Amino acid sequence: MGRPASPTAHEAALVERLRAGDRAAFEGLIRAYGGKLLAVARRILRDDDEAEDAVQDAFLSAFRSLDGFRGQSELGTWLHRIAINAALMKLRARNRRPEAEIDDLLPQFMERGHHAVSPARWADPPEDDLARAEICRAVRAKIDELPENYRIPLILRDIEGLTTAEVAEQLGTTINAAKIRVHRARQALRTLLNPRLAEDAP
Amino acid sequence: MNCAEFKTGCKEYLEELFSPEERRPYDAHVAECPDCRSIVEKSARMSCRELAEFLDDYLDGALDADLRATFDEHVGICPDCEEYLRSYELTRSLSAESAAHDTPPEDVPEPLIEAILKARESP
Ligand SMILES: [Zn+2]
Ligand SMILES: [Zn+2]
Repeated sequence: MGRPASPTAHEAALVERLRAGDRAAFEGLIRAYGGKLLAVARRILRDDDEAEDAVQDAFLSAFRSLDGFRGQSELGTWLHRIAINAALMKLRARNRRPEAEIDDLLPQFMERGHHAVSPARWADPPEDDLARAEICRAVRAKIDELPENYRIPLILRDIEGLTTAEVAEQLGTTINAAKIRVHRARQALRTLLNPRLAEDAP
Repeated sequence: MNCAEFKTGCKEYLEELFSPEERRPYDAHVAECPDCRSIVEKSARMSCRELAEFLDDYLDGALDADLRATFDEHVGICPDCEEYLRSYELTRSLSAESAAHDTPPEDVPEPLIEAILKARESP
């Protein structure tokens, strides 16, 4: 998920063929990026059928807006943003559940602002690749336990690698609101990880 | 009262959870000990609750110099915030690192490719 860079000559040629309506170019684009976009949509929607629908929507919307692709970012980055947008549209179209609060997972403070419960000392994470990978998978699973209205901002920021401003744009909120959402989500994630990473954990 | 004893009860003292009799030795220690007086002064400049709101900005290096100094000062006198900062920072890095351990992308299913191409051609 690189930052915007000028597209390669190869990409520029591909975009030319796409604009000319070359069917093989469309197919090539889907084959080149479809798997990645499907993974993005699955992370957001956690439903294979909906994710495939979202990827279809994403490509169709990309094909329609090819003229808007000015090469200001890499093709992959551009498609990534479009796929996130399509998946979020699907998510919003689902039956709206009331937004969940996560107060129980946030740190609690006393009247004058001291920690009500002293945070446990965390052990150093393992350096060993296997153990580290195992922790990362556990972290990833815990992220998916967060309520949707915190899970999505965190996924967009930490897993999809968007900037806070891009998260805000995708969610249609102010930058500050997006920043607070991500912060709360990380605090909640910290609480969920605490039993595992606290030094005196069994 | 010595400094170690002061630090043990410092949180309860600052939260004013002690009875007047329990407070008295703390007040006396603060009056005579510049180190512990500085703990009281520093903790008045930023509370743990306030500090928690600045965690991301701090770790992103986005705090202005004054606020950053106040933040550092608080962490220096508050074992709770020192541990919280450390665990929060670790949470942030593990969260970002976990992206690489997600299910790797697979090839697009052929029927999906067909469906997309077909949908493009039908107006
Ligand atoms: Zn002292
Ligand atoms: Zn503190």
